[in-house]
Amino acid sequence: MTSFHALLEGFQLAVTPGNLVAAGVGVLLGTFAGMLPGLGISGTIALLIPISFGLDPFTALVIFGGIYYGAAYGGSTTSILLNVPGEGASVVTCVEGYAMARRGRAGAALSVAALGSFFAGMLGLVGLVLFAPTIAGWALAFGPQEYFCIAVLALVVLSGISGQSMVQSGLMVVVGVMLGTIGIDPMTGVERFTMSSDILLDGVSFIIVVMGVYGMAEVLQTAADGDSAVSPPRIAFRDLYPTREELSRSIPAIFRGSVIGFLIGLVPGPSGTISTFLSYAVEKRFSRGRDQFGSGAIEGVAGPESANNGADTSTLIPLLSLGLPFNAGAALLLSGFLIHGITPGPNLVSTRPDLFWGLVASLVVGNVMLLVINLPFVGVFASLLRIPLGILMPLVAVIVLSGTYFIGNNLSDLWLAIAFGVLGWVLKGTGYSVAPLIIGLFLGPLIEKGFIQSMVLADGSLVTLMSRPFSGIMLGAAALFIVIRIGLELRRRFGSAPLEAASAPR
Amino acid sequence: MNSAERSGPAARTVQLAVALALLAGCSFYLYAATGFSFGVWNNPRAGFVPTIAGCIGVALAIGNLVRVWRVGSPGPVELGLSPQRALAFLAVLAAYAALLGKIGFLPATFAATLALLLVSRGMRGLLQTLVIAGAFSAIIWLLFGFVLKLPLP
Amino acid sequence: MITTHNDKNVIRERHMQNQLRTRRMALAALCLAPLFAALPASAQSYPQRPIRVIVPFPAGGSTDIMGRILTKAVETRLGKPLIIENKPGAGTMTGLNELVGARPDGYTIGMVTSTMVLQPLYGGSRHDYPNALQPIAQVTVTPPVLVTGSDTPWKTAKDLIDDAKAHPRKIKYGITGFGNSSHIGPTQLARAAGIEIEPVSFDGGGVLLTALLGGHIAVSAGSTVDYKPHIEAGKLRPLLSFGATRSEDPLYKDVPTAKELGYDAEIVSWTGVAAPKGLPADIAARLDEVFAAAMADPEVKDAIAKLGSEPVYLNAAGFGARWASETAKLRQVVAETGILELVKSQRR
Repeated sequence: MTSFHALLEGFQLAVTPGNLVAAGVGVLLGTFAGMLPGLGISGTIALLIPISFGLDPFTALVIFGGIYYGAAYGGSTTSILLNVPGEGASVVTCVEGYAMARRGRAGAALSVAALGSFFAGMLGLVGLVLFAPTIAGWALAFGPQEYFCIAVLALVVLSGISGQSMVQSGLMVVVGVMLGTIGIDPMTGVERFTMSSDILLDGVSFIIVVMGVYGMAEVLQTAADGDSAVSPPRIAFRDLYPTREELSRSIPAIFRGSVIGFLIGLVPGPSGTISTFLSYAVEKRFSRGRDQFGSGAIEGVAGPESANNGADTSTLIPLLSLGLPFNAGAALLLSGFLIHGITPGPNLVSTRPDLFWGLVASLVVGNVMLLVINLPFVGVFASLLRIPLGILMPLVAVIVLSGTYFIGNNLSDLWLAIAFGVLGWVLKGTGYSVAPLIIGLFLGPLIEKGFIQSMVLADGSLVTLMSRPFSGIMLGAAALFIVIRIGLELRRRFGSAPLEAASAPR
Repeated sequence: MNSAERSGPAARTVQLAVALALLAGCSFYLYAATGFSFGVWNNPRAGFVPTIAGCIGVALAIGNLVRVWRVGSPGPVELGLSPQRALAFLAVLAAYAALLGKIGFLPATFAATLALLLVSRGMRGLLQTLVIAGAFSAIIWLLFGFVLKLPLP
Repeated sequence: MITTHNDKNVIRERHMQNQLRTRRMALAALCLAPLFAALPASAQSYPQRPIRVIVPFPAGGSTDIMGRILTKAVETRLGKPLIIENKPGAGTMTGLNELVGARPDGYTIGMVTSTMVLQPLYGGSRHDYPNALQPIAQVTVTPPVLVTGSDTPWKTAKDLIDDAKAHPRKIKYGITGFGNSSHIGPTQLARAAGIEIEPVSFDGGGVLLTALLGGHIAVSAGSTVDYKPHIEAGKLRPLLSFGATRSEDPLYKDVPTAKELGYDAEIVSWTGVAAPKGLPADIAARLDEVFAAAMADPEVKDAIAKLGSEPVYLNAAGFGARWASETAKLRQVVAETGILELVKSQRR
């Protein structure tokens, strides 16, 4: 058990008063950054990299680790309270979390998000300690073919998430895919659908669309509802925390979400967001509260939030043991390491075991700190909702717009956010769900890239794609899912009346 | 536009307009997609996915239009009781986007917050409105500019 | 997106939909900046106010960090803060366009990479950057190196070429964008050796490296910096370098250049500092001088080396000469190798 011994030494390094303070500062900064729309984890670490020059390298790592966890959690706060997702991974949290907040259960949603994040983070770290070298190899088994197939499967499964008719959700998915092709094509360098405008040159940013169709659209809807808009019920202090029933329903969801997150985090790509989508789909089909989905089911918060932190943690496995950052946050973490002269990679454990284990220990500390610091804040955040909507919404509108600016220091992004706000408002108002659009926008580019790469690699042979075991299973599952869905749709349309009533969305 | 749109013939008109707009958008996209090289099966080019997406999109948009057309009342339109207030919000936000780069962060933010609060609350509690707008814009200005040290426009 | 793979930012800066925001050191000063904008720049007193540095990459990538190291050293010498503003996107073109559009008064400068020479050649950019910008200093140069996974049968470049001769179009190589150095190098090699190998495009050095390590792609030409830890760990095998001369790095000193093997294939990636064209001569001279001093600073050299890049300084004149000579040479290369046609054929 030398690694256990090494881990203990790591703890001795991490649990000095100075490093504990550093972890706390990191977690707080990360949480706030995650809450501010537009400023995500990568932004915060980027801000701190130059400041950290003067710090002891290990202390700097502890701060970065704290930010990494804090930001992954912080994004859920604004999603739940205001329907403003600050980053891709908190989009689905909006759906159930905001619905819960409107019922007066904001505190419960926030607490469960914190607990789930903590549990998933811990599980991920245990996995990191026990299996890092073994699992890291698996991550490399995912080639473009597998990635393409995962994205296709996710698209097929998720496009049914909204419960509207197949034509409508299909159309929204395709519109999302179309939006995703705008801008300079990363594969060929060709400028597509930009109408020669500089605004669109870099494409329609996922996060700006999300902030538009959720945050801005919500602001517009509330404004249009005017005095008829219902403020969420006032909540007493003891109602801030989850009830026993809510907790017992969350636990399996947190567990499932953590496992999904852990596995998806090993796949190269924006795994945090994909894992939240998948966890949501799983909870919607299998959880105890599946009938409540749409009106604020706690599983819909607990699962995805856990998945997000689980993925963020297991992404550290390829980062630390292979030196490969699979997502933006990990990439920034890597920059932070490099600037302090630490090169994560195959040799880190053997050349600098003190740093490796110290870092693992400090991640554990950061994760505990996250829970300790954020649980008491739940009440403070939840009481934000006591502000009357007539005051709150104008302020949210301004924060969303100014946050949009900081995504790319680009004023033209504000126009995009406003335009997508109008689009989201009109579409939602006329009965189209925007969730499939977001999913299409997110997965479309991944599918296009994966498809082009797979086809070139396989010399255009679909058989090659099918014959790889993993991708074959994925594609088969996707095809099966489409067939089932069409079958259900036909049955709903032509079946007997009772059946229709049973399967129609509530 | 008013609350009468919630259902009935006016709602149908709005629904048809949205469905038509979606079809128009998809058709335009497909037209633009044909401007790129499609490539071949074992070497897809820049136009491959857009062309396929465009075709599926147009087909689904037609299907959607037919659906709205056939069903007498295709579901309620819920754009709120007073859409004009949302439009006023939009006007203020557009002005904010336009002015942010010109008059600086703090004045623009203050003006926008004030205007939005006036739109949503009317003239009652004018003093309170002024105080909220002032305090809020000062707080986020300090937060973005000094605590987080972001480059303000 | 035409990305260079010279820098690690491709690894680190991919997938960053939620990217960016910059730290900033003297915020109040910038807020006041517009008030002074109307004043004429005068050389004796230059700089009178903070200087904006546009970095066409998200915060935190290696170009960004390089910029931060440099600006820190330069601001102590100029006595006024240099403020980094990240404008990523469109394969550096968003930032470059902004730089070209800025007033040439010495108060806006920016980081540039070798893509600025390539992009105008394909007709996809808004400006002809080498003519719309003015050089200040070159900071680093990295030649791409052709590598393969350690479990492939090719021990040397010759093995690879022989295999490719025997099986045309069978070997696929990864690129980080059509028409960038990762594409040009191997294409030149293929043409010179008379072999057929096919490019597969990846949207960033990180994804490509992952696919390379996983054996999903056979070979690729990328940055010595990115490959270093994996070559050290024995996971990747370097086959040949596209530089003009062999690297001095012990890890790469036994790797032959393409030229040595008799193939006419040479390309390098570089990073530097530039300003919009038309700087007053005295301000240009002052900038030339301070960047020369900063690049001679051992602390700066050390920090850049720590990032894994090799600091290779050229002054404004030398850097400008490189832009001109590379534009001429690469225009010929992309036409001869058919890359220009390939890029253009994506449009109908």
